[in-house]
Amino acid sequence: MHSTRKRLIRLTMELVLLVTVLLVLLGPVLSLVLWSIAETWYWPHALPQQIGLQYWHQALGIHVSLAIGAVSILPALLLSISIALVTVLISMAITIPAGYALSKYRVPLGGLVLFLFLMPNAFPQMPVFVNLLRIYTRIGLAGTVPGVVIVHMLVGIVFGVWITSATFKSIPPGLQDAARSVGATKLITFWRITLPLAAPGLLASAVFVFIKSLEEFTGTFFVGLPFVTTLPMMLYSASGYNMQFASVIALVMLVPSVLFMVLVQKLLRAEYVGGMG
Amino acid sequence: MADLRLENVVKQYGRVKAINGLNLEVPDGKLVTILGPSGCGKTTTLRCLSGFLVPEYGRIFVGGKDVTEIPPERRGIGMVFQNYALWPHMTVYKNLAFGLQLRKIHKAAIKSKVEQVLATVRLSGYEDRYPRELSGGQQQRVALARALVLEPEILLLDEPLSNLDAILREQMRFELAQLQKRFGITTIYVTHDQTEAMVISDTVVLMNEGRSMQQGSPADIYRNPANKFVAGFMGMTNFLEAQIVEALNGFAKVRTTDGLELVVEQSVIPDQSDVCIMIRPEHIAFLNETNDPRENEEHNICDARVTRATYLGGTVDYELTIGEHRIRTLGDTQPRYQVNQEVRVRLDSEQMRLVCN
Ligand SMILES: Nc1ncnc2c1ncn2[C@@H]1O[C@H](COP(=O)(O)OP(=O)(O)OP(=O)(O)O)[C@@H](O)[C@H]1O
Ligand SMILES: [Mg+2]
Repeated sequence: MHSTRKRLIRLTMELVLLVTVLLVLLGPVLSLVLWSIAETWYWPHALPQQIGLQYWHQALGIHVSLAIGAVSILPALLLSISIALVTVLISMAITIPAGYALSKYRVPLGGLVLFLFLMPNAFPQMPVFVNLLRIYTRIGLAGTVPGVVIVHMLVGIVFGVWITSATFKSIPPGLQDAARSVGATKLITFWRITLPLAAPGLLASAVFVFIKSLEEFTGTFFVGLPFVTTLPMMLYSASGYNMQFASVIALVMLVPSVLFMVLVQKLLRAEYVGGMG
Repeated sequence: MADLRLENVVKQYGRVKAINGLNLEVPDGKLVTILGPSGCGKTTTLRCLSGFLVPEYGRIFVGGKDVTEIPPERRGIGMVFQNYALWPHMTVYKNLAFGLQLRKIHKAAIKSKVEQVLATVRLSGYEDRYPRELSGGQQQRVALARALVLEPEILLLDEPLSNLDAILREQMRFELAQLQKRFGITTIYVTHDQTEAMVISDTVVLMNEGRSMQQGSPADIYRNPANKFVAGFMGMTNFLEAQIVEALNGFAKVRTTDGLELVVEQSVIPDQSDVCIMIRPEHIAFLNETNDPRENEEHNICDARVTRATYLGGTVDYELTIGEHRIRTLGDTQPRYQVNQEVRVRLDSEQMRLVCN
């Protein structure tokens, strides 16, 4: 009796949660899907009068027609993904050692270092980027891909270092001592014990940096335009006049993020499901 | 030969001296227990021995060779950690094989060694389990196996049984001692459990505040504690504050603070007048009219009153009041004395000891 009632309450709560999640997450996505296939949609109708894949064809470069206001987004997509991947690679090369050092050793002024890393995010970003643009212009990085990558790293590294150092801190030092006691040098211990144990956290921070980079707008806008057109730049210019085209771009932007997350999830499952709690 | 020697080792954390001039010797193939209260420097001692800490002063020798500054991975000392420290991302097999792989041993040889050691700790068939899929006792045995598989000449164990329940602890205690004898590994075993130390060790080193208080066989330390701390730490005991009235050859006549006169037989009498009489519960005998052959000896007999009696199954734990002192003793279940009953007891003069602080 009692337990059935409990189950019922739990079921109801789960249902409510599910519906909320669906509404919050999928609602906007559904609306985007609808917009992306709406070829004619006049106010105040609830549904489009005419649907079709015209905008998709145009955006994905299958058709080229000057009749509708959309161009191929493939170059921008490729550029965005490339920038994101390079940003992840360079960021990890920095965050792993930095996070490890912060967790392991009492870095003099360690707190200050973390604070400096946090600066670009804690502060309003505009003044930082405006100044950065002046410096960039002087050293010739304005409007270049490396310039944009650096801006994306500034944004991503902070959280990267944060997550990474927390991950390393959570590994009991006894596990490393045990490796040394069976004959592993410090380096081998790091590769064979510390790094694999930290992998879930490190991958999580990689995903984070990737997504951050993919959707980064403000910095790219200041230092990248008009020569570096990432997907968010395109989305920005499209959203003002062409809701259909903007919806297509927004949907396409979801794809790499979801793929990357699934990939990482797979990696985690395969390697560590046995070891991690 | 792998004997182990610490000479006047001092290790401090900041200004705190965790070890303060420790001397210790473990002969080849023997098991020495370091026993002491929490925070007395046991783990610090092991970490100096294993190379994770370098002492400020003093030297450490293994097999006559100075290893004080050699890093852990090149000492070849096996270690079992207090919380096992098994690698959670590796199976039991990989946990054991890791050290062997580092030694570039052939794959087939690794396999046979791992299987053999797993059989020794009775865990054959658990190769593919992850540590979290094992019980505490099994994890403990894997930790031991991980150290043993490398066939170390020296093994350090830091409270290896502290996380186990009482029954398992007792069982593992014997198994550990047996394995150690079988392989003849020079072993240091750290514990704060006095019984554990008594059961398994050839020699007990009693530590307090970073120093060795006494080293000797369990029986020797139990019977002839060097000072009050040792007496109190090794088993249950009673203390009576007293003054030496007369010291003769092998005898001392003492008077307690509440006026009781007692005779103590002890080969070396402390040469200070304020002392403590130590007497263990089992060395206090109840007297009654019929069954005491030495009843006509008149010394060390006192009147007492039972203030508490706790039935423990095989024995009864009594608290007696003698003068101003409260004393714990053990008695048979037959006859049983009641609370507030007046009794006569004899304190065994051969077993009492005079100790100083
Ligand atoms: N990393 C450290 N920094 C500062 N002080 C420390 C550190 N490690 C230990 N100590 C101090 O050194 C002393 C000895 O510590 P140790 O860990 O050797 O004790 P222990 O005998 O192993 O105790 P337990 O039985 O509780 O494990 C303690 O007073 C402790 O507070
Ligand atoms: Mg300890």
